Amino acid sequence: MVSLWLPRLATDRIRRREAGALGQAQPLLTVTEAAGRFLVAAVDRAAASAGLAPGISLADARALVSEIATRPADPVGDAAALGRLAEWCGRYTPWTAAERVDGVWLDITGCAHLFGGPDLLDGESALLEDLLGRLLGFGLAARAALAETPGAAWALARFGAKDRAVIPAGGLRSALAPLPVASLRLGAATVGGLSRLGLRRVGDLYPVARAPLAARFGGEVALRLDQALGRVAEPVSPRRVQPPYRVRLSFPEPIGDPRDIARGLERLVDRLAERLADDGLGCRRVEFALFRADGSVQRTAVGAARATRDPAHLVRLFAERLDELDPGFGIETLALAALAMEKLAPAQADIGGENSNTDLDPLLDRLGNRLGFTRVQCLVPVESHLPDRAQRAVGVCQNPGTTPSPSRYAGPSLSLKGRGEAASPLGSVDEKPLSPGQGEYLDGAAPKPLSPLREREGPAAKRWEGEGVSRPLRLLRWPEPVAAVTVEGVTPAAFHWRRRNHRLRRAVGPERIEPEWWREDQGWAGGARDYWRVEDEDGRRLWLYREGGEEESRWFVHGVFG
Amino acid sequence: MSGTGAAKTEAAGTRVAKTKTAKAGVLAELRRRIAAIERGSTGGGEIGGAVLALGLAAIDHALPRGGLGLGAVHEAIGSAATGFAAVLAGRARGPVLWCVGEAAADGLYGAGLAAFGCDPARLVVLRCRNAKEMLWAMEEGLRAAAPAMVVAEPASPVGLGASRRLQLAAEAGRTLGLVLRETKGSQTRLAPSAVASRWRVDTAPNGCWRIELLRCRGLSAAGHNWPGKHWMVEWHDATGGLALVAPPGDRPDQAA
Repeated sequence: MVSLWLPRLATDRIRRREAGALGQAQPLLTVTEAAGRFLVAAVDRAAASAGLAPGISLADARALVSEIATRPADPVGDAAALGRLAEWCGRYTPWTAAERVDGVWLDITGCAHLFGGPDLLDGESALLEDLLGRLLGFGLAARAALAETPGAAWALARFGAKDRAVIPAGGLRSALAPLPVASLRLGAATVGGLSRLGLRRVGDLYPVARAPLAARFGGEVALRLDQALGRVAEPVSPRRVQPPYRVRLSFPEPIGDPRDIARGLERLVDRLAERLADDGLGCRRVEFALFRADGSVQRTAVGAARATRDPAHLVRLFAERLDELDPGFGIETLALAALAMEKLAPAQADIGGENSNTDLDPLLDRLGNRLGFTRVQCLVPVESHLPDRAQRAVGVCQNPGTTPSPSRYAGPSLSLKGRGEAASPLGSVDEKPLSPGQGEYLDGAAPKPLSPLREREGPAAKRWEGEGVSRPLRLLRWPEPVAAVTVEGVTPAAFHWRRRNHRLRRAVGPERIEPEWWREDQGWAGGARDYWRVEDEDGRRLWLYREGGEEESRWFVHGVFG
Repeated sequence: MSGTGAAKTEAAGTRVAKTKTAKAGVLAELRRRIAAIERGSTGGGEIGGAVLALGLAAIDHALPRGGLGLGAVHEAIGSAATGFAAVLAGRARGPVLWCVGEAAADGLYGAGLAAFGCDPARLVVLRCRNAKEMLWAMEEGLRAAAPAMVVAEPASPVGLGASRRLQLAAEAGRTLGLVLRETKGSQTRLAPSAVASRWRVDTAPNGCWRIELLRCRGLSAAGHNWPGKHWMVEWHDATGGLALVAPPGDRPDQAA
């Protein structure tokens, strides 16, 4: 575990931002306002060496040193910067976490050997060398320590004699012994109490009996000591859940040519696919990260409708995205991570390969990644007798793997002019005998999105039937009002719609459809509708309805028949 | 078939030497035989065969290969073009990709499609933001070979270049493409296009459709009632297919 400490993060950021405007020797403070007083929040190296420390008032600071520069403290910006820095550290290990306000954890288990250089530095030292060197390049003062436990690394990074330290296995006890007890991450009161007892160094604590310590200071001291020495495990949560299936590729020189990036991607995809294949997994989402030379990270991700590990397919999915990536001044490291994994039997693995080019998934993935997966839809019947609610367009890939939900395409509540007996306020609820083997879901519950293409035959095919020609081929998204309606008796005879007069040859209806009273639906605020299938003189067939009863009738076109 | 042969022979003969002419003649003859075999074996409508038949002998037999050729892009215009597309989609064996414009005021309605034998469960509806995206999606779909049929409803006519691209993609994927344009009025000027066949399908009184074959590659004017070849058809729920309509006087007026 590496603990990285950035003691001057706040002031270093200011100096970096104001590049050169401040003299190196001029003390710099950040100032925060508390209860009407200005307090020093952070000091830079020059200020610290002049005796200034965080927590004193600005007036005191000015009294001590006259020539100081002050800036308002920006704790939010500092935290964000630390977060970005933790992300940047992902170039060394997938497992990083920001720590409090000025530190970063890096778990480099299994990663350090990658950094072993030709100059015979061991991997760990080379990694720290590289890390601190680069941070210095960014203008950030930093210290880092590598130790077996987070506690020891933390202590050495902050209180060690040197700005970098690698504690070999078994060397924890002796390395920690000369450090002050504050290095055990103890509260100020505890540290004060210990020093009054003459326990100033960590080493002083080794021979002390636990029980009196615990009686006096609670369990804190013993716990922290045990954590530092590795007697108690200390979990540290990583910044982001790092995918276990992650491969990376670093370059000795930054690359910028899109073709190089594409080639790097291909290699990574091959390696990732191999690892997934070894474990019988496929992924539904893959993230490609570019660690740029300027320290920023670019990410792009593609999704797949169904788990895949076909390298050719994955490369194709990314092909569209590579243009969006900006290599900036060059890319030092590429990383590819599989995010959503699912079991994938070996037989399924070569979908989209040469053998089975009739599988729809690769195509859906490509379309989804370009258009957005919500735009690749299938039509799902919904149990409602309202025509505009009776179907839903659902993203094909939103919930893959689910089997089609047992629902049936509800018939309309046909009540041809029989107002007396069209009485049931429940509308179609009464008339839904579900056929055997079909379940029922609560009204209003959305049916699970189905993957229609996987179930080509079988019960799904039946669910849309039962309406015959009484439903239009196209339903207008919003019913369009028509003007100048003439009515013969109750039957519409002519109207004006979309800049044309339609004289009707025929009208079949009405079919009464009642709103679902238990649901607020603006569209159905007008009450029951009487639908007519009408045909004008040109043979054009429309779905017309009237709402508002015979007195205040308003007419709308709701659909078009083929 | 003889039309195909004649056209090929003519085209080849005007350009190259006699040996080539003979070669083209042989090729045409072979193509004719293959087409005949395929029509016989698949019975039409079967994806994997060379054609998608409408299932109406009168029309299918008028087409050079006995149906709408797979691996080709066709175009349907007119007020009932959607219904025509639904019938074809219903006969295609396999998933159907249907590209619609996002801004369109109306959406495909599953229950209505089902009435024409097109099971909505086989449909993937793509909501494209613009014409460019739609053409891209159609081309991808055609080339991928996974869908049995790809339908697109572009807001404006597909240009010559774009239709060539689509045609090439359809050939690569052996997929049937259908460009759907519900044009209003009958005077629409048709843009030049590389589609294999072009149909006008209009609603006609009494729930009928008037299907007109405006153009068809491989079909010469000679030997056919051409141009202006048209049929009056209607959908029969009972048989689940199209049927020719008897001349007006002979049939009782029936409900749509």
